[in-house]
Amino acid sequence: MKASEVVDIQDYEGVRKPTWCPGCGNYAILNAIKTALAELNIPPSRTVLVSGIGCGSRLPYFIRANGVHSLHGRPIAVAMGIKLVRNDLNVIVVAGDGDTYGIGTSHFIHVFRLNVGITLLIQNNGVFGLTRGQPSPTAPLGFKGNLYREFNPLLHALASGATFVARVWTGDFQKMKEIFKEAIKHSYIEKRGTSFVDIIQLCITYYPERNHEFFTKYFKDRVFYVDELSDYDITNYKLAIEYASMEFNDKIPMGIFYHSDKLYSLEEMIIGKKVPPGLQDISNIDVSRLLMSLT
Amino acid sequence: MEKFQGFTWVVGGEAGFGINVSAEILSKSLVRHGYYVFSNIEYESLIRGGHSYYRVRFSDQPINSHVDYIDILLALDDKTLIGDGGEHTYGHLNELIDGSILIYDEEYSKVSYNVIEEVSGRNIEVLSLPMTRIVKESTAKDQGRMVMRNMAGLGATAWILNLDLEIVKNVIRERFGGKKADVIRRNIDILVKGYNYASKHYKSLKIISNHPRNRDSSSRDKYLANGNTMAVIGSVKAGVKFWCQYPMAPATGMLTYIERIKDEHDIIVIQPESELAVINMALGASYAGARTGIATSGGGFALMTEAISFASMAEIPIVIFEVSRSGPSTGMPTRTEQGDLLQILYAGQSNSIKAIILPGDPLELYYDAQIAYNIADKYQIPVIVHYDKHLAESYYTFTIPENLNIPIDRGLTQSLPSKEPLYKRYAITENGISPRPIVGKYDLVYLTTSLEHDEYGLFTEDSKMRVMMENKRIQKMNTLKNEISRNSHIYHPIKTFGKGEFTIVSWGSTKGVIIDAVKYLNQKLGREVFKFIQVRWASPFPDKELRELLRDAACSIILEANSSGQMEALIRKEICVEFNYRFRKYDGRPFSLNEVVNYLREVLKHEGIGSS
Repeated sequence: MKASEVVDIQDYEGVRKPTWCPGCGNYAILNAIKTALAELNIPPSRTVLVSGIGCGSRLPYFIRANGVHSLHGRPIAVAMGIKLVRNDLNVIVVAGDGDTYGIGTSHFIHVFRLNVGITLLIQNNGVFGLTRGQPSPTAPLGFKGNLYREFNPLLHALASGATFVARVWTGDFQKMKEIFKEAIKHSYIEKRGTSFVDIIQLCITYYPERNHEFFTKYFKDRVFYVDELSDYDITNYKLAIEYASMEFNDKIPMGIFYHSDKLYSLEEMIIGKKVPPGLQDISNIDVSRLLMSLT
Repeated sequence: MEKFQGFTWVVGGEAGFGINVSAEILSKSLVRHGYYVFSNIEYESLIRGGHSYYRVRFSDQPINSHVDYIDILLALDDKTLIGDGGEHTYGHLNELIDGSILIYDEEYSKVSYNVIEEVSGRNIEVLSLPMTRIVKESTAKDQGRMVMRNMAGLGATAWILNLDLEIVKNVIRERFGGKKADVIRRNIDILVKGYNYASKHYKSLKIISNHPRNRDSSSRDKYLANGNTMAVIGSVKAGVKFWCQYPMAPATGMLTYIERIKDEHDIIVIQPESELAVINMALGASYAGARTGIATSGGGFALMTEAISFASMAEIPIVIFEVSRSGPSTGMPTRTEQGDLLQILYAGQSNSIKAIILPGDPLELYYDAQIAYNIADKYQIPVIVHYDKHLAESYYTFTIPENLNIPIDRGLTQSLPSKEPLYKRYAITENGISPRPIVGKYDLVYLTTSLEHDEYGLFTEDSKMRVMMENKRIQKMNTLKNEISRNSHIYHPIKTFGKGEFTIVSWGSTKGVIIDAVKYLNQKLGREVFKFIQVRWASPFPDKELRELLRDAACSIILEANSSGQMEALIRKEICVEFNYRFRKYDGRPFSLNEVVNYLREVLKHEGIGSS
C-alpha cells in the first residue's frame, strides 16, 4: 500500500466474525478502532494490534491488521518490544482490565516511565468475563461480594508519568472514536510516547448493572467530559489528578484528562532517523575490534 | 598433593580490594608473554568485605582448569592467611606447598609471627611486602587509595615471574583506559614500587628465567576471555539488535559488557522492570524483525517460562542465555552449579518445543551464540544457550580458527503473494517450517498467537487442526535434528576427546577439567585409557550419536556439577544407558583438576587397573 492511497474502513474488515455475546461493549470498541484507523489513513499492514487474554483480547482476530495475541498481562511488554525496534509501525495494545490493572500492572507502570510510543486501549468492564464473572481489579467494593476497593487506572497512569491519559465509555461512540484518534496521533504520528485510554464498557452477561441500575443508563446519567469544561486545561497535571481522583458518584468524568507534548518517545530518542533496528541489514558485522581487545 | 604443569598465583582479600583488577591484569600480561592462562574467581554475594579470591593458573601448554594448591599467594588481608573461623573463609595457607611463595604485608598484618614461622618451616618462601606503606608514601592522598595495594602486590609478582614491566603497564593502561590519566599514572607508580621493593629485598626469588614470548608482539594470536564476554561477542557477530536483561548473577556480566559496546554496534539495550517484561519485550522485538537476545539465571528463567511456551506456540524466534548459579531458589548467587538443565528442558506447558545448546568453553559459546540466532530465526523457536557461573566468569585462553565462519541465516521470506486478505502465517509444510515475512514490510497482514490456531493463525479448538499443528511443530524439531546430524561439523551435537575404553561423559563447563585430567592421566599411564564425550545439545538430543559412542565403552563414568544427575537422567530417558560410575559435585565450587584426577584414579583402582 502506498502512502498516498486512501485507507477505507473495509480494508480493516476482519475475516472472522466476533465471538462476543450479543450486546457486548466490544462491538463498539472494534468499530471505533477500525473507524479511527481508517480516518487516520493508516494502512492495516502498518498496524499491529497486541492483545492479552480475555474476551476483548480476541479483538485482533476480528479486524484485518497484524495481530499478536500474547499472554495474560503481557501485551504491553510485547508491544514495547515491537515499537522499540520498529518505530515505523503503529502499535496498539488492546487488552482488558485483568490484563492491565491486575496481572500485568508492572508493565502498566513502567511503560509510562519508559514512554514508549504505543497506544493502550484498555477494555475496563470490571469483571473477568471469559472465566465466568469474577470481579476484576476495577470492580467496585461490594460487587458480587467483592471485599476490595477498586483500582484507579487514571491516577496510576498519571503518577507513573503518562503523557496522554483519557477515559471513554462504549455508550458514546463518536467521542470514543475521536479520543482513540487523538491517542494514536500522540503515540504514532507525533511520536510523543505512550497514550492511554481507559474504556469503560458493559459486560452484558456478568455485569449488566451498576448500583442496581442498568449499566448504560447509569453512565449516561452521570458522564461529563472534562475536556469540554470551559475552565479545564488538559496540560494541567494537578487538575488532571484532581478529576482523575473523583469517585464514580453523581458525576463521572471522562474525556482527555491530560495531554503533554513536551517529550519525544523513547524510541524516537534512541532510533530517530536511523533505519529501524528490526529492518537493519546484519549480513556483514565486524567484531574484530571486540576480539582484538581480548588479546 | 599432586602437582600439575604450570604455576598458580592466587590473590585474596575483601570485596573492594581490587582482586579482579589485579588478577585480570596479571592474566592478560601472562597471555602476552605467550602463556596459556586459566583464571577463575570465587566471591561472595556482597559489595564490600567478606572474602574473595582469584586464581590465575598459567602454563606454556594449553590448560583449562584450576588446581587445589597455590604456588604464589598474594594476601591482601589476614583472612586470606588464617581465615575467620569459616564465616567467610578458613584461609589459604594450607594450599601452599613445598616451594610456594607467600606475599603478605607484615607491617599491616596482625597475624602472629608463629603462623608465619610455621609457613617458613614448610619450605615456603615468605615475601614481606609493605604494600600499605608503599601506597601511603605515593602521591595518592585520597581515601580510596588503599585499593591500590593490589598494584604493589602485582609489582612484586611481576618481579617473581620475571615479567616485562612494559607489558604489565600497557595492560594497566588499557584496563583503566576510560579513567583519568592520573589514575593510570598512580597505579603504574605503585606497581613499579612493588616491583623495585621485591627486586631489592628478594632478588633470588625470581622463579622463571624464560617465557614463551619475552616481549610483546603486535601479532597476538591468543585470546583471553570469559564465557559471558564471548556470548555477547557471538551475539553481536550474529547481528543482535535488541538486548534486554534484568541483572541477575552470574549473567549480569553480559549486560555490563553489552552496555559498553552497544553504541559502536547500534544495539538497543533495555533493562526493564522484571524478567517477565524482559522476555515478552524481547518476543515483541524479535517478532518485529530484530535479532534479539536475553540473559538470566535460574530464578529469572523460572519467571520466563510461560513466555517460552508462548514463543513455541506462536513460533517467535528468541535466544536466551541461561547462566546457572548454585542451589534451588536464590541459592548461592555467585557460586556455580549445573543444576538448571531439567528446568530448561521442561520449561513450558505441554510440548513446548525449543532447542538447547550446552557450550563447554568460551570459544564454543562464541560459535554457539551465532548458531543459536540462526536456529531461532530459521525454525522460529526459542533457543536456549545454557552454561554455568564457572564458564560465565572464568577466563580461558584460546585461538580462533580462521576458517570457521557461521554465515547468518535468517530464514526469512522476502517476497510474498498478497492475494489473500490474511497471510497464512502457520502454513503447513513438509519440514514444518512456515514462511515468515517481517511484519509491516510488505502489503500483507498476519496473526501471531498463543492460542492453538489454524494456518491463518485464527484460533481453533478443532481436534484435527490441533493434531496437525502439534505435528507441524514436532516436525520442525525433526527437521532441526536432521540438520544437526547432517552438519555435525558445524553444530557438534557431541564432541569426543581421546580414545580410551574408559568413557567419561559430561556437559558444559566440566569440559575443561576433564580434558586436562584425561590428557594428564593418559600420559601418565602411557596409553589411551580415558576418552571424554561432551554432550553439547540437550534438545534435540543427539541420541543416535551418543548410543553409538557408548556402545563400545568398557566402563562409563558420568560427571556433573549437580546433586541429582540431571544429564544422567536425560541420557537414561533418551537412550536407556546406565553408567558404571557417577561423580557429582554441588558445593558451589567447580571441579578442580586434583579432584577429577583423584576420582578417576579411584575408578581405575576399583576396576583393578594399576595406576601410576
